[in-house]
Amino acid sequence: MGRFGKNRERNRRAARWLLGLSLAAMVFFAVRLAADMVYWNDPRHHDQQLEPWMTVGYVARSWDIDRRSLREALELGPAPDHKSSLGQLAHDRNMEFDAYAEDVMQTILQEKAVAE
Amino acid sequence: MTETALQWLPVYGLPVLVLIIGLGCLGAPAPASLTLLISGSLIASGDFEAVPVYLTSLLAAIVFDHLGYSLGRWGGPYLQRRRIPLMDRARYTLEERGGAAVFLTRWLLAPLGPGVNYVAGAVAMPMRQFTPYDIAGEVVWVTAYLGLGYVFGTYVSLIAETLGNATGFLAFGVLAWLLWRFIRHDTRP
Repeated sequence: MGRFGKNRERNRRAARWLLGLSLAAMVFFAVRLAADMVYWNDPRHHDQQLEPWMTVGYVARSWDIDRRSLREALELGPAPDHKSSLGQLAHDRNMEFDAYAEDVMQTILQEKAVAE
Repeated sequence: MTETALQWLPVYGLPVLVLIIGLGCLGAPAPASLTLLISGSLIASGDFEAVPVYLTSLLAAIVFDHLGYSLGRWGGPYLQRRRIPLMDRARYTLEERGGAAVFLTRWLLAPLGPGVNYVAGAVAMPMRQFTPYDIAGEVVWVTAYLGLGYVFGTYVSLIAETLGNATGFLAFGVLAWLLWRFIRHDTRP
């Protein structure tokens, strides 16, 4: 077996390995896709969670509440921290994100109750 | 890690967008598609402006794709000397269907995008062929993901996960099919 033959054999083995990895990745994504379908089909999982990247404007729009009154309820000034995210607001307050998110969620529910 | 990085997106805006898209185009595990969806929803909520976000995302994707292509081109001669039949096969496939490969791996088969950039450079696919298909594909990717984020803003995480899994499934399915064809072709006497 010459140099080329040896190369060829090694290459064939590499191709088989890559094929195995690709098939494994395919199965992985198929399983996740199916698991997501099951998860999102359950109406209990339709309420959306607060995420660190969300802005106050985004929260107001998603939960359908007035942006200005939400800002006031969260004790935020009008202009300077316009583009701050919930993650950064928690960071500024030296709070864990989850704890801050719980506070924000309480405020959202209060705002919604007032609006109704 | 992803979550803490994304909390800086609304705060610092475009530079964070460029960084995440750039890393994604080079194959680092950066959530580029999720970032575009979020940016779309932040346009809808009035935190981002549509035109700068659109143009910056598009430009970042195209520039970093070409960086990957250039790195491949630079390392190509070294790989050439090692006489790897898989590389010959890749060159043949790209010569036959290079345009479609580049176009589709920008969005539909997105997980293969960075790899195709490097390989296209390594097998010296002509830039006059790579560039137009890259631009066309990135226009589809950026428009689709920003648009979906804009329209379905409240379901960003659901959309990101579903599309990520679906494109992952498709991409590795296509890759497995190509490798299987290569092995069958190669083992034939």
